[in-house]
Formats: sequence, structure tokens, C-alpha cells
Amino acid sequence: MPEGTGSDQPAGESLLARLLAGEEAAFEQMVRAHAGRLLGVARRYLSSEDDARDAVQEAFLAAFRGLDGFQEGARLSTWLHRITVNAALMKLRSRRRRPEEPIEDLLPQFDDRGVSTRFPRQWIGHAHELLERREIREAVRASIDRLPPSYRVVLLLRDIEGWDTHETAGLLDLTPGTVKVRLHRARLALRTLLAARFEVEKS
Amino acid sequence: MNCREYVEFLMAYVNGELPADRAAAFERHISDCPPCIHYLETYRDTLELERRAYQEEESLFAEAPENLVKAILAARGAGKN
Repeated sequence: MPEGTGSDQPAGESLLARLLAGEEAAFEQMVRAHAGRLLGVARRYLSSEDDARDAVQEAFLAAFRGLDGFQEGARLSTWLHRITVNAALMKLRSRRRRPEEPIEDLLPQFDDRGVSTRFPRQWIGHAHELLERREIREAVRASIDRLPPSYRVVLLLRDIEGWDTHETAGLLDLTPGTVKVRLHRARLALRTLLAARFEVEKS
Repeated sequence: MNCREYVEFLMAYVNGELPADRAAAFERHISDCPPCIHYLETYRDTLELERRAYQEEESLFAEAPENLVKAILAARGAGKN
């Protein structure tokens, strides 16, 4: 399960009780404490800032309507996170009109004997060294944004949110087998995109 | 095992899900194929990079933009009527 950060106290009987009682100030407190982080989550899925904001707004309204279903002992931040991901996925579905770019061009290529046709070169640094640079972390996020949406979503849910194959399959209405194949291809494609940036120059 | 099969089994290998005989074939392939060693290393780097690329973002956006907060509160007010 994803663990949110910030304002991560247990849902707090007091805040929850005040929310259930319909107290306006409690709703505002919940929004102020979580909306910023949830906007960051929605942006991972939606390239349009307006869509990301709409998804967060819809998530809070859905959360408020569904407060009765909130399970005691759960974290409010985790629950809101999940509702936001759902809202973002719904928005993404409603926006997906054009056929997406095929992922094949980003997958490794082989000759008839199954031998790699491209010799992978070393990278300019290992992940832990690269991650120290902010522009590299931004470049990694930008590369994930370049993946075809149906693959990007699986990579985000499995690797970034940390959901398991079955949860991801249920959420996306896919079979577990399809989730595995898409995750595998999404990671290979991301490796190709990162290699284009991080491989050492040919000497 | 050739490079194509190696790449096919990469995720299962990294996850520790390959049966022993397949894992052994996988490792034999790496010992003979330097490009595939590089590939495995950079695949692991890719996983680490993607998993940690969003960490800073969580603190960057910790504070909610005021106009978003206002919009949410207004939408809730409108929905109640």
C-alpha cells in the first residue's frame, strides 16, 4: 500500500468525527493538508494542469461523499491518495482519443538469431550518483511522461505507487498477465529513453 | 539462451521469480555476453531512478495552491445546494 507523506497522522477520530458531522472547517482542514501532495500525484497521470486540478477536486468531492466507507484505522492520506489515482485514471480515459504511439520502437531489437543488434554502452554514472542531481530526477520524470499512456499507467501504479499486480489489474480492468507484460515493456522502453541520455559517448 | 530470451526473462529474474533451471541458463548467458551484463546493470539503474524520481516531488507540492483550495471548497458548496 502506498504511504503518503505529510499530515500523516492516523485519520484522527476528531477530524473524522468532525468531517462526518459535516463540519465545514474540517473539510477545509482536510483539503489544505492534502491537496498539494495529491496535485503532485494527479500530475503524474495527466499532462494537462487543468485536468490534474479537476481530478484532485473530483477526488475530494468523492471522498466527502464516501466518508462513510472510510475504514477506521486506515490513514486518511492513503485513502485520499487512492481516490485521487482513481479520479486521475477516469480523467485519463475520458481524454484518450487518439491511438497512442506504438511502444515497439523503444524496445530492444534483435537479429534473426536473437542476438542484440545494438551494443549497450555504459552510463555516465550509476543510479545513486545520477539521483543526486535535480535535473536528472526531472529528466527521469519527463522520460516516464513520454511512455505511451497504457504502459505509463501500469509503470506508475506498480513501481511508483507500489500496488501489486492484482490490484493494478483490477483497477485498470486488465488481466494480471497483461499487467505483467505491460510493466515489463514499460521498463524496457524507459531504459531505452534513459540510455539515450545517460550512455557515454562513443570513443 | 540468446539475448532475446534473456531480455524476455529479465523482469522475472530481477524479481527472483525464475525457476532454478531458467535462472541458471540466464546466468550462463550473462557470463558469455558482456552487452547483456551492461543491459542488466542499466535495467537495475532504471528501476532505482524511476522509483526515486518522485520522492522530492512529494515535498515540492506539500503546500496546496490557494486557488485550488478555493475551487474545491466552492465546488463542495455548490454540490450541497
